[in-house]
Formats: sequence, structure tokens, C-alpha cells
Amino acid sequence: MIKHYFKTTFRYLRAYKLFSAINLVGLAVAFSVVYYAVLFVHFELSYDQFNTNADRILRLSTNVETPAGITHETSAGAVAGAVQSTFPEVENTTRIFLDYYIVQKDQDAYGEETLAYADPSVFSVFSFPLISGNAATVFNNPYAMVLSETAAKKYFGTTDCINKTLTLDGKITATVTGVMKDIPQNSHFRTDIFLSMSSLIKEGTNWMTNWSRFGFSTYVLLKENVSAAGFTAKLAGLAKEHPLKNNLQYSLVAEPLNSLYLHGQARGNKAGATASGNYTNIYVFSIVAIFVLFIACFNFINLTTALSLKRAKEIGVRKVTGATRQQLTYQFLTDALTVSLIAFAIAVILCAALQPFVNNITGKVIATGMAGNIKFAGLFLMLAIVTGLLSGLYPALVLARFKPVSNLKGKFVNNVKGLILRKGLVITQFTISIVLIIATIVVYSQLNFMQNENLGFKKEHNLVIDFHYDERIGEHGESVMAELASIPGIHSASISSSIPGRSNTKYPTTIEGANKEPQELQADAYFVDYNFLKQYGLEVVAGRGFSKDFAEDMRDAMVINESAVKRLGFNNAADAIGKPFSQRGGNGLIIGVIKDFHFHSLHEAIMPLTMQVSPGFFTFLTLGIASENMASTVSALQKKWSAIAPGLPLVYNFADDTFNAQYKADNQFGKLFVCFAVLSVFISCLGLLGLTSFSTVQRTKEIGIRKVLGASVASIIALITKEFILMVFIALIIATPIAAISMKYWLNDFAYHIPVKAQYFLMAGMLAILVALLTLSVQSVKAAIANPVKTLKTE
Amino acid sequence: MIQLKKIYKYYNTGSKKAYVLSDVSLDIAEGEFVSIMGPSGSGKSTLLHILGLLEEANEGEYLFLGENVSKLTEKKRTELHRNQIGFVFQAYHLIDELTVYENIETPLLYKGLNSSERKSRVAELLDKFNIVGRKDLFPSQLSGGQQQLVGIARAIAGNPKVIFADEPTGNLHSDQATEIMELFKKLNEQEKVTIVQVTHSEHNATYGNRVIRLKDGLIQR
Ligand SMILES: Nc1ncnc2c1ncn2[C@@H]1O[C@H](COP(=O)(O)OP(=O)(O)O)[C@@H](O)[C@H]1O
Ligand SMILES: [Mg+2]
Repeated sequence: MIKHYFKTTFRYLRAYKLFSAINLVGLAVAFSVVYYAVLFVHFELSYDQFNTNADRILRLSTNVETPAGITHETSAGAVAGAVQSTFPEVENTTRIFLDYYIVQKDQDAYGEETLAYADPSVFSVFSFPLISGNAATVFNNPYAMVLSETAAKKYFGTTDCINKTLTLDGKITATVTGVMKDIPQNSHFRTDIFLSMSSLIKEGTNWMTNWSRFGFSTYVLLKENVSAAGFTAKLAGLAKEHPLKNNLQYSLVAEPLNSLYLHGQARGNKAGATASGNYTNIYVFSIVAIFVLFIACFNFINLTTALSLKRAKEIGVRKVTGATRQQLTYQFLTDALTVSLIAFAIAVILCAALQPFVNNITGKVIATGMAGNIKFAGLFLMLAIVTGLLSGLYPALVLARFKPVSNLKGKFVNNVKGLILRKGLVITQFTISIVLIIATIVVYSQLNFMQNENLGFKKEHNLVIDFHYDERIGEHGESVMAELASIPGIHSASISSSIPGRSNTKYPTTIEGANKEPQELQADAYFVDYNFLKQYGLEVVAGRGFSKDFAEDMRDAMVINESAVKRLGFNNAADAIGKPFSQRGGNGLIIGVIKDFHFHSLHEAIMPLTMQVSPGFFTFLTLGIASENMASTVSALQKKWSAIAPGLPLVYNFADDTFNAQYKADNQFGKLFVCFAVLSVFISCLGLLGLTSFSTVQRTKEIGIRKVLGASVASIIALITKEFILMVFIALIIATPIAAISMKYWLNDFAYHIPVKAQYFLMAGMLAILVALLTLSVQSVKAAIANPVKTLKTE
Repeated sequence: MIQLKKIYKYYNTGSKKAYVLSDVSLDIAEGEFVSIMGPSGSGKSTLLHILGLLEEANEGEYLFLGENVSKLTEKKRTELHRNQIGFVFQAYHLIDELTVYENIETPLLYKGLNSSERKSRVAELLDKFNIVGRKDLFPSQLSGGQQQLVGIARAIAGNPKVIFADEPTGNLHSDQATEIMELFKKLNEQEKVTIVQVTHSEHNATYGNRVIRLKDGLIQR
């Protein structure tokens, strides 16, 4: 009997090729989408789980209570040691300090890399197995270095590279003492190079005992069966014993490693160096994947019930020859299951083919082939089976209940309930598709807005060199800049500690506020030269910019932005001029206020910013460069550079690229969204194609008669498409509020965002109707131009 | 074998009942070959459907093999369709996607015969109806007469006691019609299958041993 079920199924698949193809393609695509969505979600939830002791690891951080609110800092270098010696429940601690260097094997091969200073205990707290080298001794000396396999192969072509050396920032020699397995992709921090902590904390410096100098990520490994809450509770006492230099209150917080990636608080200025996930994205992609699956299932249900009109006779015959309702139900479930399993097989191939594309688009290696994910392949197969059964169930029950007699009489009429259901499903499909189209339009408009919005500074034609604090440049800024500016094509130069879009250090800053009292701000601080404001086109709205004509401008003068003015309580920028400030032990007067500009991405609101002319922190050289003959300008620059700083590679970027690099994750989100939207529209249209082909076949005779009676081709097309276009229109009406609300929510994540405009909905609606019309035209035009005599004869 | 007592069948059209069958009582004994005749719309098909348990009468009693079948569970009805009743249709109603062989095999599958039993039964029928050479063709590749042969083969595959045939030769030309009628006669005489056919042709009716005439839902005496 089962054999007979399958035989019948295959006969029908062959007999109704278009329907079968639509179902197979739709389901296969949907399965692939779901597969990758599951992998993505799983990957996002799997962060740091590769650590054997993940459950027992906490990250210690500092919440400093400033008058402006809590600032989230990393932890000071002294914390780890104190915790280790104070609390017996602590098994081990380790510190990591993220940094970046220009790494060179020889003069010509170089690149910028993030790397991390670490305590030797990093290899016992985390599961980073060493391939060579001894964990106990690898970090015995300053500039001892453990490379990942990838880095070892990249620089030396082999993992057998102990005692070989690399040059950091063109001057430091670091020696390989160990090679470790690559840190998994799903680690909240990753590096290919660990440097010994003694490279950072030189003899005689006070980093080890300083409780106010943040920048370390401190990890605590608790002993087994120790309550994390109990340990955390004791941290308050430790904080009390070690006041901060500025006497601000603070608390030590312990965040479990397991939730760092998704829920961890961004901390300190190096926050960007650790990966952080987004819970909303997980929800968004799960929901969208389920929607895509729904759309495909709806196609299946719609086409099967539509097709049932054609199968009515067969069902009647089977009934009178003795088939029970149950047997018919089995037959239809077999149909559904077979389609779904074939779709599964296609999906497996599709997934394999799409793997590089998906990894590229998510920017992560979330998939490594189904063979490596047997568990998922199994789940995936289950999904196919369940999908097949569920979407087969409704048609199966309806079809099996047909009364044989009306079928055989040929009197079977499309029952109204079925028709409403079918229309409902089509409307739902298009609602989902239109929501996704609107979402895509909004996402892209926002991305476009972020990349093109006037940021309040000049980002074009600014070439930025990161010289990694090299003294040869930092301490001779004036002469270096003069020399570089002599290159034809370079017309201006400026040197600074930071540039817009790069991470930046916040300092506690005290300025006299509107209430005549000194006010404490946690302000981003830029250290710049006299030309910086001009170089970046920053507009002075009160007072004046820095000038060599005023001796006090060196270190004793400060320019603040409008946000700082507001924070201080002044209504007028001019009111802030002349107010005393103190920062990092120095003090002086406010000399100017600049218009707010975006020194961080548009995700973040503009915060108070201070600027001072103060060498010592300089690491960026900004050169105004003409757009003509760029290549020759850069090669002249290269030549000059090797004379100025022999051995230090020239690492440069353009200011606009640097700023836009902040939107990498947003761009990936956008790309993923387009994929989802395109796929859901595609599958919906497949369904529409199937339904129109069905309804035109149903109406062949009617169309023939109408044509004989003189109906025009256009009126026939209108006859067929009218109903479907109406459905798409209803979908648009339902989709509009859903999209409006959800996109408003999504946009709220950006401090600066576009309004949700009516034109997005119009655009999406027009697009959906256009695509639907195109799909419909395939069948309806064919029917409309068919020779009526032929169609009537075949009846 | 078949007893109808005061059968009424009506449809609700608008406000009033439209009677298709009124006060129909009849007896058909095992082994009879009965022809139902009457003008178009007189209720012949309806009567045949009621006899074949495809439709239920609104009033009256129906005994099939001595058993009251006026109200039956679906399961019981299927049971009778599998084992006692065969149908032949004017429009043949073969399953287009199945071959001749598979069409004949279908009722045997539902009856639960095993594969070798089915094989031998289908082979026997193909042989008997002289269509062995066409067993792998699809219905669309056959002439009307050939299709109807397959239809009859299918109807008797399960060894039913009775065959209900609704204008089995209505779409056929006279040579083919004669062949079908001869076949019915042979089945009736040699295999003792009871046959109830609807026909418009007086000639076809002569193959049977009794004629029931219907007019406006009433049996004419
Ligand atoms: N489902 C139905 N609803 C209403 N009237 C019906 C229905 N089925 C059949 N009829 C009517 O019953 C009458 C008898 O039909 P039928 O038994 O098919 O006649 P015959 O087979 O003798 O031509 C016809 O007038 C037909 O219109
Ligand atoms: Mg009739």
C-alpha cells in the first residue's frame, strides 16, 4: 500500500510539473533560510561556551558614579591580584589588555593587528590550548609572544616558529614563545597574538597597584560549587578599601562569561575590540525565518487545495472503489511528505552551495558544512518532516472528506471556506513580504542617512596616518608636518590624539557651571594641535579656536562642544567662555565653543567633548590631500615617510572610511534583510504564479467564450488579475501599521535617525504590486491571447 | 437482494422541495440484469446513486442483502463498496495518472490483497477482456470503448455481487456499445453478477431481463 501511495505521489508530481516545481523550490529555499537562521541563532547563543569552565568565569568591571551618571569602565590592573589574595573561593584570575600594533615580519610585509597583553593564567582560565610552548613559562619575559596557528602560518608559513621574531610598530622585537590553537570565532574577544603582560607593565610603573587606571579586562575563575552571587556580594567591601584618586564612588561588578556577548555592558574606550551581539537581531532573524517558512507552507496548502479541484474526480473514484477516508488522508500526507523531503534534499545542496555566501554576509563563520553539524542536519530533517505533515494535514483532511457523488457528477464547486482560506493565506504572504520590503527600504534609508548625513566635520580629502605614538613623529610634530605639507598635493596637516570615528578616552573634567559651582563631567577628550579645528572644518560658535598667538593655548586653554555647554547648564555658548577648568591635573580657562559634531557613530548621541592643545598623546596625522594625482601624492608621501621614520610602516586611511567602518554591523544587518525580503517576495510570487495558472486553467472555457463574444485582450487580463491585485492591496493596508510600528522601534536604536515617511510605504506597495503584476502577467497574457476556438474545442 | 421501500428524494430549491424520486419501491433479486430507463432528468442517476450507497434517500427504507443500509457509517459503507458493489460510469472515470494495469489494481489495493494476489487477479482480468497489450498505457491513450472495458474490469476486480452502471455506453458508438453489453450479459450469466444499468437505448435494455421505467421520479407500471 505504501508503495502505491508513493507511486501515486510521483505520478502527480510529474503530471503537475509547475505546481510541483513551485512547491519544491519554495520549500527548499525556505528550509535553507531556516537552516541558516538556526545556525546563526545557535552561533550567537554559543559565545564563549567552548571554555570548559565557562560557568565559573566572571568578568570584573567597574561602575563609576559620576555626577552625570554611571560610567562603565573596565577594571584597573590592581583588581586581579587583590581579588586573588582576598577571596579563598577564587581559583584563578587573569587580565587581558587589548591593543593594536603594526606587526611586521620584514620591511615590506606588514599589517595592523589587534593583539592582547595577557597574564600567563589566560591559558588556564580560558580554554586556549597551546600547540607548542609551555603555558607556565611562555610569558616569562617582556615581549614574549604566543601566536595563533593562523598568525604563525601567516607570518612564518609554519606553526614551528618558536624563538622567531616579529617587529611591532617598526621598533620593538617580540619573540615567539608559544603557538596556540586559534581562538574560536564565537569568543567575545579574539586575538591572534598574545603578548606577555610584562610588555605592558614595565618595571617600576604603578599599574599593578593603581586602582584608578582602567583598561584591563579582569576575569575570575571561581572554585567549583562556589556561588557567584555570594562572591559578587563581597566585592563592595573590597571597593571600599581602595578609593579612586578622584574620590568618586564606584562599585566592582561581576558579569558572568556566559552572558557577556549578548548582555555584557560595553565598557571603556576599547569596547569596540570585544565582540558584542544583539539580542534583537536574534529575535528578528528567528521571526523572519519562520515567516519565510510560513510563506512556503502557505504556497503548499494553497496549491494543494487548488489542485484538489482537479483531483476531485480521482478522489471520488477512489472512494467508490473502496478507499476509506483514512487511506485518502494517508495518500495526501504521503504527497506532502514526499514533496517536503525532496525539498529537503534540494535544500541540503542549496545550503552547501550558499555556505560561503552566508558566512560572508554574516561576517562570521557560522557554518562549516552540514557534515560538521550532524545534529543540525537531523533537526533540519525533522523540520522538513513536520513541515510536510503540518502543511499536508489541512488539504488532506479537506480532500478526504469530499463527497464522491458530487465529484463524479462534475458538480464539484469550489467551496467558499476553502476560497476564503486561500485568499487569506495569499494576503498573509504578501503582508509578510510587504513588511519586509518596507523594513528593507527603511534600513537602507537609515544606512544611507548615516553615511551621508552632515556629520559636522569635513571627512572628505582627509588622509589619516596612524603612527602608533612613534616619538619620531609625536615629538617633532611641527617639523614633520611642515615636511609632509611640502609634498605637492598635500596642502594642510594636523596632528591629534584621536579623530572622529575612532575610539577615544574619557577623562573626568571639572568646569565651572552655570550655577557658578565646579561641575564634574566625564568628557571625551581630544588632544590636538593648532590646526585641528581648521583641518576638520569644525565651526567655532563662541570665543575662539586655538592659536599660536596665545601662549596659554598650549595646555592651559580648552575648547568644548555645545553638548558640554548644555551639560554645564549654560543657555548660551558665550556664557561658558572664560570659565575655569581642570583636567588630568592641569587647569586653565575655556576659550571657545565649537558646534557639535559626530565624533561617534549616529547610533550614539553627541556627548560632551573637550579639546586641548597638548602633545604627548598624539598618534594620528591628518593630511589634507588633493583629489587629483592621488596615487603620485601617496607614493611621494611613502618616500618621505621612510626618511622621517625608518622602519615604521605607513598605515593610512581616509577619514570618511574610518568613520563609516563603524557601520559594518549595520551594513551586514541591511544585507541580510535584503536577502530575506527578496526570498520572501520570491516565494510569495511563486505561489501567486501557481494560483493564477490554476485559475486561468479553470477559466479557460469562460475566457474562450468571452473572447468569441468580443472581449479585448486587456479586459481578459484585467479579469484574471483584478482579484489578486486586490489581495496585494489589502496586504499593503495590513502591512503598513505593522511595519510602521516595528521600524519605529528599530530606528529608536539610533540616536540620530530618519523619520518613518509615507513614501516608504508607497514605494513598497508599488513594488509589491509591480512584482505581483509581472508574475500574474505570465499566465494571464498567455490565456488572454490564446485562440478561443482551440480552448473551446478541447472542452 | 435489493429492496427499496417508499423511497423519497428531494432537493431544497429556494423555499420548496423539489422531488427527484417519489414513493419508489422495488425489489431486485440476486442474478437479475435490470435496466432503468426514462427521460433525461427523471431521476435515474439519483436512483442508481441511492442503490449504490453514494447518496442517501430522504425518506424510506433500503435493504441491501437483507440489511438495512438507509443510515450507514462511512466505514460500513466503504466495506460494502470494497466487497459487494462495483460501479461503471458513462464518463469511465479512470484515474488519468494511473496506467490500465494500475487502474484495475486500485480496488484490490484498498481491499487489502497482497501483491501476488493482485497480480494474478489483474492478469486474469486483462486476459479476459483482451487488453493485456494495453496494460501499460494511460487512459488518454485509449479509445472510449477501451476505456470503458477497463472501467468494467475495475468494477468487477473485487468480485462484487452487483454492478451499477450509469449509461455505460452513452459515450460510445454502437459497435463498442454492443461489445460492452455482451460483456455485461456474459458476466451476468456466467458469473452470476447482478447488474443494474441505466440506459437510453431500448436495444441495450433487451440484454437485461427486466426494465424499470422512471418518469418525473415515479416508477411507471
Ligand atoms: N444536487 C442537486 N441539487 C438540486 N437538484 C438536483 C441535484 N442533483 C440532481 N438534481 C436534479 O434531480 C433531477 C434528477 O437528476 P438525475 O437523477 O441526474 O436525472 P437523470 O439521471 O435521470 O437524467 C434533475 O432535475 C436534477 O436537476
Ligand atoms: Mg443521469
